[in-house]
Amino acid sequence: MDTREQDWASAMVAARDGDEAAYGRLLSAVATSLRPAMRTRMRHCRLSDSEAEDVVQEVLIAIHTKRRSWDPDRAFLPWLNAIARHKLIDAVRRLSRDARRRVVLADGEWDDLFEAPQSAPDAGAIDVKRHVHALSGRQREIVGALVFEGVSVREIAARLRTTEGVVRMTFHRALASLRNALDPGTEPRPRTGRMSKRDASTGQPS
Amino acid sequence: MTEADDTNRLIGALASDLGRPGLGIRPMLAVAAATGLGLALLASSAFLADRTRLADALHHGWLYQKLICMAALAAGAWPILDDLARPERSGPRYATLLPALLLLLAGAIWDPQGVGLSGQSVNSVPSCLADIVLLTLPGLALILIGLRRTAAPTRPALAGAAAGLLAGALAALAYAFACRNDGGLFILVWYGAAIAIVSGFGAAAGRLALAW
Repeated sequence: MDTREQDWASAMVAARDGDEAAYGRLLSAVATSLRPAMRTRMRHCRLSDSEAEDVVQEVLIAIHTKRRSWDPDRAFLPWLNAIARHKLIDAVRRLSRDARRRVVLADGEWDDLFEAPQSAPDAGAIDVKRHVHALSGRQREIVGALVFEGVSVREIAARLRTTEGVVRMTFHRALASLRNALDPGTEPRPRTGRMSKRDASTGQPS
Repeated sequence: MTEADDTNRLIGALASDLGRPGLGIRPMLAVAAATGLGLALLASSAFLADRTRLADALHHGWLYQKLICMAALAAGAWPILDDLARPERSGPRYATLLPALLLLLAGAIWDPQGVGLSGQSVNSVPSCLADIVLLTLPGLALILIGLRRTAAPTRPALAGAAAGLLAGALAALAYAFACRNDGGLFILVWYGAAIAIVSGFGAAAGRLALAW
């Protein structure tokens, strides 16, 4: 591990003199060495391994385009670390910004709702129906229609002579109560996306 | 294909792109700065210099105070630019500017000319400012182009400002031969202002051109 500075610095000097093979080996070694560190740091920022590989590639490209900024009189590893750090910061900023912009359609929320708690795997289905019955009249009607009968939001709105927005809102509230009833320990999750018509009509009874 | 395969292909492409070695940071800066100085001297002697006055000035030695101050400023700016051009975090050696600053202050305090802040004519200040700024531009452009090719600054705006400082000091050095205003206070304030202006240009250009 301690010979990395010498090995890599001499490979870089060889590369300056045009030794493509040595340069290729150096870049491979750098990539292998960087990869786990990048993955760890990216995970901290909730970014994936394939995004980590993108950053590794960006670092390699930066090493190549900025190779003249290394002075053979100076140490190699500090230069390399500085380049890697600069690219990592850049990438994390860019990728986090993109991630925040992606709409979080809470698919998981639908799955979890009818998932029974771990301790009583069989009780799930029965529990749900019982709790749905315990809902207020209108909420029960809407949940029943949307989820168990597969009626569309538009039809329900027409049937109840109200707007689709009201139907959706009532459905949200019903879900919140159901969630509380089924698993009183969990916090109600904040709504992050609008419920689409498609989502409402594909709910499955458990 | 796995991602690592992708990376290996990239490495192959980069290795075959190796090409010939180019100039490093220091040789590049030296060439750019020297060329900038040469151009400024040419322009200064062609358009600005009053020959009779120049002969006088060389004889009487008060020209040398200006030359020494500007040379010290350029010499102080050089290591700072060198530091900022590299990605490693060796904080720029700002202390190298101290000798120049002390010389400028001393010149202002013990000004033998008594010329004062407004110079010898009404036009002195604006023309001095404009001339130094114009003389700086070719050298600044050359240094920035060189940095773009060879440097990897993690603070591109600051690196650009340092480029402006170096180019400005050299241009002021060239201008000193032609300038009729020798007062120490005049140099500190107005040459200083011109150099500050071109450092600002350098910072703006650096932010645009030197990021990577």
